[in-house]
Amino acid sequence: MAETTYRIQAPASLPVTTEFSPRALRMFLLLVLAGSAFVVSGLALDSPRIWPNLLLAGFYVVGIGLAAGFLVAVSYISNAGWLTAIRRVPEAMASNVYVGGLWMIMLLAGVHSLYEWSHTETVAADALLQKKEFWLNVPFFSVRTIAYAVLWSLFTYLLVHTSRLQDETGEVTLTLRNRAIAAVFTVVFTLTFWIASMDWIMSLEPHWYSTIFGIYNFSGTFTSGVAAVTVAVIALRRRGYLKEFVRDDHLHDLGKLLFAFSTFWMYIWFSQYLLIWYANIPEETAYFLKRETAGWGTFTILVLLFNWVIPFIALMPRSAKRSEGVLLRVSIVVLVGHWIDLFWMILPTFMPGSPSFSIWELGPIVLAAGLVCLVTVRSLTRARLIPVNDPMLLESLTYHS
Amino acid sequence: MAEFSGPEQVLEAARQAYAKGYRQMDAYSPFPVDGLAEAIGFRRTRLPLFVLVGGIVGALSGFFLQYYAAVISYPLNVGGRPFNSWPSFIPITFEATVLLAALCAVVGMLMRNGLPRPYHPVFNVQRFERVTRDKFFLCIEATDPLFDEKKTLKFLESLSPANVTTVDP
Amino acid sequence: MSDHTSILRSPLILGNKSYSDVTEDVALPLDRSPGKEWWMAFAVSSSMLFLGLAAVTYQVMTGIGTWGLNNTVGWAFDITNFVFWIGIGHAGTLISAILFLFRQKWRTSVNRSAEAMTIFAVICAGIFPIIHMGRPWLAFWVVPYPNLRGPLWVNFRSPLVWDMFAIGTYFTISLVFWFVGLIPDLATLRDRTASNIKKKFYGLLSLGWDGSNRTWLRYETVYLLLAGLATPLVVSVHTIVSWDFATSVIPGWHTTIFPPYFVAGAVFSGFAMVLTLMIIARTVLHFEEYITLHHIESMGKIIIATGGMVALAYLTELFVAMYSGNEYERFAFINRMFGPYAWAYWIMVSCNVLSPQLLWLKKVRTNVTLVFLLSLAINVGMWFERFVIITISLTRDYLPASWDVYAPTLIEIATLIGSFGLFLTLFLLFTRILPMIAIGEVKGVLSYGRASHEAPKAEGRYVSAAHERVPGGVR
Repeated sequence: MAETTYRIQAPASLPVTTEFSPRALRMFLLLVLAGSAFVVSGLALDSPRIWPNLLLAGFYVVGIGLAAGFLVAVSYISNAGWLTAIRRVPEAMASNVYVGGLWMIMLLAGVHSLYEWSHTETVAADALLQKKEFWLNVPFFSVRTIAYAVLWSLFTYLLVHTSRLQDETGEVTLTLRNRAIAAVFTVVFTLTFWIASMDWIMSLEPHWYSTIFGIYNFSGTFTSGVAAVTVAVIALRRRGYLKEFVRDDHLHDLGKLLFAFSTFWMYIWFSQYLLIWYANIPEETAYFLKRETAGWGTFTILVLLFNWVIPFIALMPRSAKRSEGVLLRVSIVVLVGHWIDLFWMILPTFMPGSPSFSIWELGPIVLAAGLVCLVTVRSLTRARLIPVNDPMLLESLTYHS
Repeated sequence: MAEFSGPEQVLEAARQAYAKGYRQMDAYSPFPVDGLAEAIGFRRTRLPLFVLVGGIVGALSGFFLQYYAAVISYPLNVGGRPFNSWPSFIPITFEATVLLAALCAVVGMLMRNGLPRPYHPVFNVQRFERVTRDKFFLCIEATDPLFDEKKTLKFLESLSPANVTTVDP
Repeated sequence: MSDHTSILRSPLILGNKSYSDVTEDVALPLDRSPGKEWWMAFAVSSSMLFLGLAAVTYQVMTGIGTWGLNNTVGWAFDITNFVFWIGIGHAGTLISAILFLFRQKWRTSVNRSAEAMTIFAVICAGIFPIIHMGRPWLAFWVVPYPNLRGPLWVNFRSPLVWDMFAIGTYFTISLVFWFVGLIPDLATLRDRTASNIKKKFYGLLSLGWDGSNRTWLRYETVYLLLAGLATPLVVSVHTIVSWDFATSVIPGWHTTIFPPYFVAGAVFSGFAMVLTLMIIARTVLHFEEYITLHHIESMGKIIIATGGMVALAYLTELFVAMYSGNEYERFAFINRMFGPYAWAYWIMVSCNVLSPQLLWLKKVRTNVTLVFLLSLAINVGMWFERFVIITISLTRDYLPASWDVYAPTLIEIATLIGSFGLFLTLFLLFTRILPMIAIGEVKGVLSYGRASHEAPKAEGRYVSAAHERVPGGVR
């Protein structure tokens, strides 16, 4: 293309970095330290309970990072100009892939506390688990976990790095290069994420299987990622950082995404439930039976309420999607809802009977929340808040939704 | 009625006319021009509410039809499932919701727009034929309180249009 | 707006058309008497239609025994065709609704024909379940209505009843959506034609449209709402079709991924069919400036994406069958890959998974002939996908004693040919009566990407504008 041969020069008046008040950073650091203290004492005092919660929080963190990275990648591939003005936020959030990936690798230390199939004596007594041993064995599982973390980190890095490079050089070709990276990232992501979610979560109940499980996790993860980006954008805007650039139209589009993907999540949830309910095959229904009896039954209603009913009703009017206040609240509901959803998937195996909440649940949440905030903010300070040289920027600053 | 050859010109003219105080007017164009409806003082429509009501009625009646048939009128054990098999009633409930909401949207739009409309005075102008092709029109109606045949005509001419005509009722 | 459009955008419509040119170019084929090519195509398609009509007439008079079905395989050719056509019928609404919601402006050149295609494909699809009933004159029994047979209702727990509701709704809404989109263009035709009869005809259909901007605003609102409603509707239709199979307990049919997998497959096949028809139309009717290489490339990219989803679903099914450790699940897939119908499975894989990968290359995406051939391959592959799922799963189920084979009879093949005849005949008639390209919508995007395409000017403007927008500094 002819238009790729020239450059766009960055306006000289822009400062290079974004600075945040050290107080906020200290607060996030404090959260991380407090969370770590909880987790360490949990490992010492009640390790069977803390491990599944650590799995939950680790998957949450890596999921937020991946979802943000995927959002950036998709915006490149589909030429979605609108995101450009706020793209630095998901880019920064994508750094959580590194931390989350590391977290998942560290979880390998608890593999025996988490996975029934990792005990040779259990497998020896179970004919079905023997058939699954080719896939569910500790060495291969560890290799896979490391491979996912490395691959995801690599592509996230390339994507973000190329975007930031454009700030300096103004080369339009960098956008085209990132388009290619984004395409490959999307392929890698879709080929690995579904199977990673089956490895980490579905194999907690190794007799049960569902082909839609990976897509179900994608829908929940992506929805929570959009919610996290929305919260960050609104928080930045309220503090005056993005004020000049983010208009209600951007919020409107984020709101539409949240609305659509929350509904997509519901669709996938219902598809899985209906098919298992309808066919009524004992191996499959065991999963839902466990989640429909005693206290878990009420909990299931919470899952649906937080992930779909509330966002769907709240975001239906156009004005709600353009309102900072409504969008912020709904995004927080979705973020809580995603935690509830993962709790609902992971914990029933470890908490037969009824769900309960204690400091061992709280510890990993505090650690994860602190980490996500800290990592995102630190990453935001490393680059300009606006991709000043992106050829789509002006379009993003002026469009109407 | 003034004729323009581009979307920018008619938009500018509409803004000036609105600023001048004209309210009973309408702009005509071959495709929707961004901001033109706002410029002649037309704001949002209430159609979305109408559609929402249609959707809710559709959902309730869709579910009730199935509930009535399967639980009240003709309870039958099918494959050991409960009479009120709500998960299997959801697909039809959904379809009924969409069907009614969409039909409400279209019927509502046609009604509010007064379509189908067999006669409208603007069609009496020969040149108006080109409104669906490449020309843009701004028409100030005689019902406007500020309307005065001579003055309005003069005002329209001041907007440097391609042509000005009076529309016979 | 065009001032702010990114330099990476290129014009959608080539050849510096004026508004009037658009009207003329699109409407011209409707005035010309149909050429020799059109008559030849029409002769072929209507002969196919008559062949199908004869086959269906014979089948209805004689009975379902004229088909190759047996006790083991109760669903085969007919249901394959049904799912195939329903799938084709998904791209039209997808292009109109989802691409509209995502502001993919290039859709304007192709959405009209794609929607028409949707409607014709749904008509073709609807025929198959009805003739499969054997006594199609009792087809109305699937509709719930108060009747004199005691309080007797349809079984609302049956996916087949869901199907009836889904397809009925889909057909109605697609038709309405299409018609709403047509109203302004019908008015355009009304105002340009010289013939009195045509003026009456288009005038009646255009409902007295005058282009008022109050009307336009409400019209746009409704179009947006319809798009918002049509999107979940499209998804629901193929989801429900997939439930026809997935609610059962047959290995190869009962799997939870079916709903999104079928939807992706439908979009994939639908886009392939749109490409096939659009490439023919742009060449025969000379719409190269409207349906540009850019459009073909964009559709090619969507094919890669949806093809990728379909491939992922194949992989998931295969992996989980193995992972499950369930011997019936495992056997269903081994039978597909290496059983008596292995050839069908491998045709499916090579057409749907391997061939679209060529589209990653820009050279291939912009080569019209190659894209055309690939789109044909995908059409074939997607037909075989349904055949593989439906028929192969049935031939060998839990009880080896009841295993059987299935082969279609000539009557069934003639019926399939007839459905293609119906589809093509309707499409050919459409190209003669209604504008193939959405005139009003194309005018709206006419200037898109033009100003910004003059690169140097755009550059200067971009920098200065970006400069202005930067406040005292980003902290």
